Amino acid sequence: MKSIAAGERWFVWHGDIHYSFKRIRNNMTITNLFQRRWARWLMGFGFWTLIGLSFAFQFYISSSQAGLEVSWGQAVGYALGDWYVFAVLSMAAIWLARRFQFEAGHRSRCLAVHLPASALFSLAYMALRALVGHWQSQASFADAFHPLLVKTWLFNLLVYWVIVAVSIAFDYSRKYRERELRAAELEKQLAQAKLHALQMQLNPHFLFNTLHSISALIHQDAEAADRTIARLSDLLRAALESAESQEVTLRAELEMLRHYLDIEQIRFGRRLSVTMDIPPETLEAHVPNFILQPLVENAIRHGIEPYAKPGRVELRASRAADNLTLEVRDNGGGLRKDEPAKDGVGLSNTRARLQTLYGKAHGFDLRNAPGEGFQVRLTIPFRKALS
Amino acid sequence: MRIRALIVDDEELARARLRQLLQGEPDIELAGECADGHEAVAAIKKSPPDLVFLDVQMPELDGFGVLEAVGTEPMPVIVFVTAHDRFALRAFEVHAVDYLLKPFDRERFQKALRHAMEQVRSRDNNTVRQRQSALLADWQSSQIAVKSAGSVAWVKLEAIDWIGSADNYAELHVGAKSHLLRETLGALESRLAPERFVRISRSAIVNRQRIKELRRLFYGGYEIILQDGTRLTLSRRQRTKLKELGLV
Repeated sequence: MKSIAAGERWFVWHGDIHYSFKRIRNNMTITNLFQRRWARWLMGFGFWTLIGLSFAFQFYISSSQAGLEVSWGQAVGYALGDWYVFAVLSMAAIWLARRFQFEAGHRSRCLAVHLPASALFSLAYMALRALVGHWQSQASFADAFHPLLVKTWLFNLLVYWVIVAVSIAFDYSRKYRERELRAAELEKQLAQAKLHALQMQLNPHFLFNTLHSISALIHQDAEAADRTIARLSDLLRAALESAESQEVTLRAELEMLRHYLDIEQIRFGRRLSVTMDIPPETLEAHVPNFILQPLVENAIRHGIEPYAKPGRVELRASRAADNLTLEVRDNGGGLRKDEPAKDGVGLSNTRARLQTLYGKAHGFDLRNAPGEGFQVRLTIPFRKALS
Repeated sequence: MRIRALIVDDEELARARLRQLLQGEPDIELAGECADGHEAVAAIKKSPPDLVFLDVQMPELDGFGVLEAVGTEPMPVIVFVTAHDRFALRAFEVHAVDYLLKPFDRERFQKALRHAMEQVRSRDNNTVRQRQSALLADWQSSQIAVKSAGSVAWVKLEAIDWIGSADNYAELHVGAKSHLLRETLGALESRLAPERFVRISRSAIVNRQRIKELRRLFYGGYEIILQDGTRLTLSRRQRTKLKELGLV
């Protein structure tokens, strides 16, 4: 049986779980779309109609108590006329409210927009309402406009500000919910990253081989045995500690990675060499907690372990403009040409976390390295502590 | 007569551990150390040792690969050494083959060594050979070797969900992973036990245990739904297979 190169790449594990999450998220967007397109317009229409009808009711009662002859039809006609005009103008008010939300630092600018806008709103209302009134009662435009100007200018201003206030309140609650959702998602993904790290350290193959190495070292180099035990403990401790911050400095992340690499180095000896090219100015950059370990682990599992030849893992950091690029590369067999790059449980989580943390501002690229081996390149916004 | 023992392990420290322990044994002469499977095969063929401490997980050619490549003549007494492999452990027990679990202490090591030395000394090579050959056969029948340039990955048959065909390759679907084999489905089918795998169309073989559901399609074919949600079509021509599947 002759077969082609088949060193499968990423250890894929329950990859479908990730996909099912994705599917749920897609369904959610579909529901949102539905709400936006149909239900929203319908709800807006219903809302203004309801206000119109309640004013019509009030108008009818108060008029008839004052002894004025007003029919139900007239009352409803007038009131709906009032409020549908408000409904049309509210769109402009909401548009402005969305753009000028009185965020800290922009308050006076927003006030400078909304004050004249409210006056314009009031004026536009009176003009439009007079036009509608002219059409409803055959009174001349001027005859319809004058009483409106006298009686409603202040009320119109009030309506504008209420619309702006409600719109901003809605936006704030939506943003708040989104933030909470994102925080929950990030927390989940960090927990998954830690769980993955823990699984890796408790992976029987890694754990028992490490213990076996220690067992050998005890008889030939007690200091080295001590060091290995300390490194293994550091690793286990880091993975067992409860989840804290989403981001750590690259320095801290590399230190954690060092513990892991020290152990692999002890196990593989001359078969593994690790080079790190980390410019000092990148050391204080913020990176997601536990981001590098699955990448380096993959490089060792698939690029070093399956081969008897001496293997090399290269870790590189670089800063270009506002981006930090991290690159992990091995000199193993890489991917076959026809083999799709699949994410393992660690990598699919890495991808999802980057998406949640940075949205479109990140890059995550897996490919065969030029020459030999495989490389993973990760680009995120460059941010330093206390920024 | 001193017993010549060979150490085979890809990790330097693991070899050192065995060396430390073997050096304390007066009846043992160290025949050499090998850092990978290929080296081990060459060493065994060149100058057959009496006893081999053989690591199971090694790059490119693992312990079973070594056993396969060495053949039955000469077949030294083998003590398998492994950190973890549930299948292998079960197989060692079944075939009464000696093994050591990493990490091990002197006591356990000596117990395994004594037993292996008895076998070497009894000159009852047939029993040893039979056991080790049976172990190998068992291993081979439960795995498919996915070979690539110089290396072998073993895929356990029980882990395969289904096998598809792509041109001249067979694609083994194992959970979310897949492996390509340069072998036609027909050739592969003949190697698989029919009570475990069934050919459902020209382009697919399915692990019976993974079938979750069978749905009738309007044109007379059937759709087979696997536990992981994969949908495969049972062609109309293969409908006789339904009885075989025990589903109709």
